[in-house]
Amino acid sequence: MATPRIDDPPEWLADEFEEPEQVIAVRQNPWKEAARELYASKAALASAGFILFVIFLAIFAPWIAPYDPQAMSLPNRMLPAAWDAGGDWRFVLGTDGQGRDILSRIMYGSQMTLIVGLAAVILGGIVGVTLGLIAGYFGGWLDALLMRFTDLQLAFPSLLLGLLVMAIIGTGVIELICVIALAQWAYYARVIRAEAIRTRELEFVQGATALGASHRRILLQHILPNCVASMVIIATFSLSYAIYYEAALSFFGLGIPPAIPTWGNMLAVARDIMLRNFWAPVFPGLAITLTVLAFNLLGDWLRDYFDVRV
Amino acid sequence: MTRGAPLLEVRDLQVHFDTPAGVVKAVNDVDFTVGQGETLAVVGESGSGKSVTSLAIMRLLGGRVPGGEIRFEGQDLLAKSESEMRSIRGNDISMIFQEPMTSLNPVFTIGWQIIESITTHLDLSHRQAHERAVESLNLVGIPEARARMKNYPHQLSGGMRQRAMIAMALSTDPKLLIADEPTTALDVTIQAQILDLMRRLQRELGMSILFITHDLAVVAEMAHRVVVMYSGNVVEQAPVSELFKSPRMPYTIGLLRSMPGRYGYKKADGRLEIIPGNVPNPLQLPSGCAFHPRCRFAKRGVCTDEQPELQADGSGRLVRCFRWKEVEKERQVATQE
Amino acid sequence: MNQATATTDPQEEPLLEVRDLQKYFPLGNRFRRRYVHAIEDVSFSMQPSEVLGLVGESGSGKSTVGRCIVRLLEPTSGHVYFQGQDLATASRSELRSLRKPLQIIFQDPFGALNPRMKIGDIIAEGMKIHGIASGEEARERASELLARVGLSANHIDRYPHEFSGGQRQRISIARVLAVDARFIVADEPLSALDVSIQAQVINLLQDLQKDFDLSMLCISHDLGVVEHISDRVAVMYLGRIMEIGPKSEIYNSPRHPYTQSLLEAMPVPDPDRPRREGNVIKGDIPSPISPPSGCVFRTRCPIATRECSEVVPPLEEVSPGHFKACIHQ
Repeated sequence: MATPRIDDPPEWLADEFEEPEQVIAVRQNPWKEAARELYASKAALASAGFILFVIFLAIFAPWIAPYDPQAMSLPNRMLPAAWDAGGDWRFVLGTDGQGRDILSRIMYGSQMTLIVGLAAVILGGIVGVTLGLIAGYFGGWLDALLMRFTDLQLAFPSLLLGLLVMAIIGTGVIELICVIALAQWAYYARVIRAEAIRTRELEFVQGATALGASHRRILLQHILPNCVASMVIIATFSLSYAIYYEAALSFFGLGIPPAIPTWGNMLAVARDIMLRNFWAPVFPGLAITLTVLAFNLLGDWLRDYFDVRV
Repeated sequence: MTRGAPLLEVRDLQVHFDTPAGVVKAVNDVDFTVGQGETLAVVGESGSGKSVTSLAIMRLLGGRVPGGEIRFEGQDLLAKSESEMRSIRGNDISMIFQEPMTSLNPVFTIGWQIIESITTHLDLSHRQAHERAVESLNLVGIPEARARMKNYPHQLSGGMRQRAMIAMALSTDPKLLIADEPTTALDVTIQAQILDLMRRLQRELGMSILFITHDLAVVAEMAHRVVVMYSGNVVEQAPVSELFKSPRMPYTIGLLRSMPGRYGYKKADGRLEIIPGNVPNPLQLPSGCAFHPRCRFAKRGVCTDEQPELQADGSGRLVRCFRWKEVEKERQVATQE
Repeated sequence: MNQATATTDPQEEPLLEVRDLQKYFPLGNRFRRRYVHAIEDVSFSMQPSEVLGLVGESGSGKSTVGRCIVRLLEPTSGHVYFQGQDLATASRSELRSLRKPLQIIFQDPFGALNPRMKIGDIIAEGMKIHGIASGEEARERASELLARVGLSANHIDRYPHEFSGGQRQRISIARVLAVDARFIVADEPLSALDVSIQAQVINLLQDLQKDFDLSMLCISHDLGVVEHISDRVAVMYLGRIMEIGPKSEIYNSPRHPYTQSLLEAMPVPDPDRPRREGNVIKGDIPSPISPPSGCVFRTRCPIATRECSEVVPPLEEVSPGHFKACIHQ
């Protein structure tokens, strides 16, 4: 056997010796990791749980609500909560001025609140993200123009704007959704624009340009997917804001008419009878506060979670 | 070059990090010494543990105390309190880093920063400290040193900033200078200036340098002795001439031969000799010798089962390889043909 | 007039010709407008299957040249001709199809791949854009290319973060091969890699260059890398070409004082070589915002005279195919 030269691989290694490339990072399931970190944060965990609970209420309200939310019962008007003096355990959280059960109305109210909130967030998101992507990616005069609109939008006190617009276009579910979306899109646009500017300088975008990719492909395939983290974070905060905003508009009587309950218009109705039935505004108010808080906390956690990865 | 007792002695150094995925042994049983007035180069790639070692010596690992012993002038640094370490850092042991832009505070003038370093450790008046700072700027070859004291880091070029950082490190007359990749971010011509400067300063001031780098050519320019690290271990130690003339560890041989250009080994078909494979994932270290999956001399049963120990040959050289004698024989055969 | 565009075989039509390329980047606002003179008067040409190494330090403009060639940057003036066609005058659709043979590999393997795309899709994207293949066929070709660059085809559905730097660089190379590139600009392709991986990737580049008959512009500050892979070498300083010629001549008998200083400054992995103390080039690289008049190197040049500040030295031939920009001998 010839003396092995310094260039020859040893015999037993020779067969396996083709550029061993098997060393790859340990594969981790991103969902498991996310779940683990969620458990670590008690606040986020509680928030997530609460939100799931609200969604559950919204879906199953027709089956678990004790009464029809619109069923009036004049003999049982303005009952306080069951544990207070004069309360009735058939109406656990009391009744409003028309004798409608507050508990059932809160359960049904979650439906409207979530639907309006989600629809507004989606609508505002689509508009805002599109404009933000275009402004950030193309830059130049287009960017300047779009940003002036955004500035205008953000400079206006949003509630005032909402009142103004609804005074013009009238009230109703669709109008409400549009107004809330109008108040939101500028936040999306701003943040996504910054993300687009950041991402377009990254080398894989330049590589795609060099490959010959069209602007559309670059925006949809390369820039947008890398903005998802920001979008999710804004969406959670946006949803909490939408809920608050709907409540505010309803409080001014510009929301959905009180027959169909939303937490906002329940508050509005309760305002009149507050002095006689102290409980009436408490429960819808509590519902709004807790839900807004839950979304905010979850949004905070999401922001921290994505921060580490990015 | 080594006179008398070594200035720095590192024994059985261990730095382990706990991560959610397991324990990462960044530095595993590392031994080396730095003598008075000598330059010891620590060579390694990413994952070798070379930077963590230097941070461990300076106790800059965020409160964590590594295992083992680090004796500086006979005293164990690992046993010292944080305030004791503070009086040693920047004073007896100074450190310079790769990126001068992030190591110098951008909102203070370089004069201010050097003076701060001086007054923290030496008992001098402000005027005396100022003079001393100007002296150190002169020492490192910054022209118009007095005027430069008022400059901010961003007003200086990369080479000048690195010189300023060296000036700051030397202003307290340290016995040991730890240089972590000081020229990696510099242009070739500027690197030559800085290396020239460091050699000159070492001669004039008689200080020791612990020079950390991945560049073997720079090692040849600067070092008296070399320590090669791989995957948290020391795998070879030798005086510089011997390391380049007769490397023993297959990893060192691979590094030397895979240098692109006229100093590497070009095979008959024009391809450069390579070290195949990748640096191992510290969480999934191979069994036996950490280098064996990439080693063309690896022998099943020998290199795959047990970790080799560092073997001394009596002449000051150390090598962590079971088969270094056979490797040596083959290398001599190959170079003679 | 542009003698530097003449190559060893002037009869053959050059694959790529760069003529009088200039790129300035604006700084400041309308009131205080200044310019970074990134590249000035750069001209050279390249033949098919040739590797030109472009070396220089910071401010030399070498990366800018690469990006102007693949049209990621618009030159301020000057022309880039690919297979005879001027990229500046190409229409949008012409430019689209012209991009296909002109590709680029970047320095940073971590930014060069979209973290949200599987590597199979990354490689196949170019094929889809240019209608070379799609769907299952594209996937198969991507697998083949993965194997060709030394990765396992099983990993086609993995994401970039699961790979090491050297592996990601291989994926970048596969992406470029997928569109049948003919000319590749490799912008510091090895600088961000570990030393033991650099040799692997440089061998791969060399193999592929030979197998696919590619023309390559290898931009690097590492003189060893350039020496290994290039046929010809161009040396740039502060936006201009100082010297250009066959590799062996540039490395063994450099004629321009900058090239000589650069080679002298290179650290040598031979500890027994005698070191001449203090014989290093002095001074710093001037700012490209206000480059020196005349010869840009004169502020650090050991043989500079007064005339050097008066006129910009043109590229002159010193031996066949070897040009230098210096008025002194």
